[in-house]
Amino acid sequence: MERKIKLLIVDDESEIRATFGEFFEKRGFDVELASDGEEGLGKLREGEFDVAIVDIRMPGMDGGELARHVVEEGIDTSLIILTGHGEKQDAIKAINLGVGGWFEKATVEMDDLLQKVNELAQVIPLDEVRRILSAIPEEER
Amino acid sequence: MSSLYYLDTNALWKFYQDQTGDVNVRRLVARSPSQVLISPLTMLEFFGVLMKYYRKRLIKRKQIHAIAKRLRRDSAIDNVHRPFRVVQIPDGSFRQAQSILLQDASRYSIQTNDALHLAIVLKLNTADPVVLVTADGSLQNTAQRRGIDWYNPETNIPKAY
Repeated sequence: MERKIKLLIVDDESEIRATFGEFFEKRGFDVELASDGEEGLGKLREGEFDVAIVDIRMPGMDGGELARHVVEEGIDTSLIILTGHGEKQDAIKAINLGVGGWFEKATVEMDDLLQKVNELAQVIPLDEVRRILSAIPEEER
Repeated sequence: MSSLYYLDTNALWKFYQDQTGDVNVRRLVARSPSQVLISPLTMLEFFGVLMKYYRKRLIKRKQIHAIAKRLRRDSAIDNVHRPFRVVQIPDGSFRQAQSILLQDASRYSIQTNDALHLAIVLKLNTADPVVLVTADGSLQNTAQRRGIDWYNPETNIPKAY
């Protein structure tokens, strides 16, 4: 059975959570929502998400701080940051932390976001793992 | 009553790397009606082997991350659609491992991590019996003494009690 991609949406705006959540659920994603950074981080620590879409501006723990925690704690989830207009510097900081992508919230094309989520959720195919490991000489195994 | 399977680290490697017994492990994983069990110890040792390959320049850092990500995505604690389920190390496993070492390591060549794998299998509280999948002869002998069923993927020999 094919596994659904697990997606977390972290945004303090309920309309964004609802719109994005519905969009991805309709496309077969397993979606969870969080309304602030603390709740989002808690879910990321427990939930084994493939990708999280995170608003950079949130009260309390913002998206940048959440991204720092994800990197420092070694949480295996790829992040996409949503920024407001003129928050390019914040996006650059996030990218430097290892965030997988960023979009301007007001102008984001959902198909582009979908493509990015799918891209980040991909893992190396099993055959490729076996090909890499087959290069290890027998005596080293 | 069906059995659950617990892979030691070497057995898990056979799922990802072509080596003796790989087909049997892959078949077992594909046919198992429930997720095949591994533990945090199995994963830790798996990553340890990856890093050994990296130190010896047999594998690149980017490949390590890709393979580690693949293993993490193949295993889960809460998702039935993945081949492996990571069981938590049960309470009392380390004490049990000490006991195994003190009683059996004088006779069989079992290491600390082997004793811990056995202790985890012994302490797992599951409705169905757990079969230890290992190609290690000492581990099989010690499992035998403890009444644990085992399966050797290299010889395709199961041992049940």
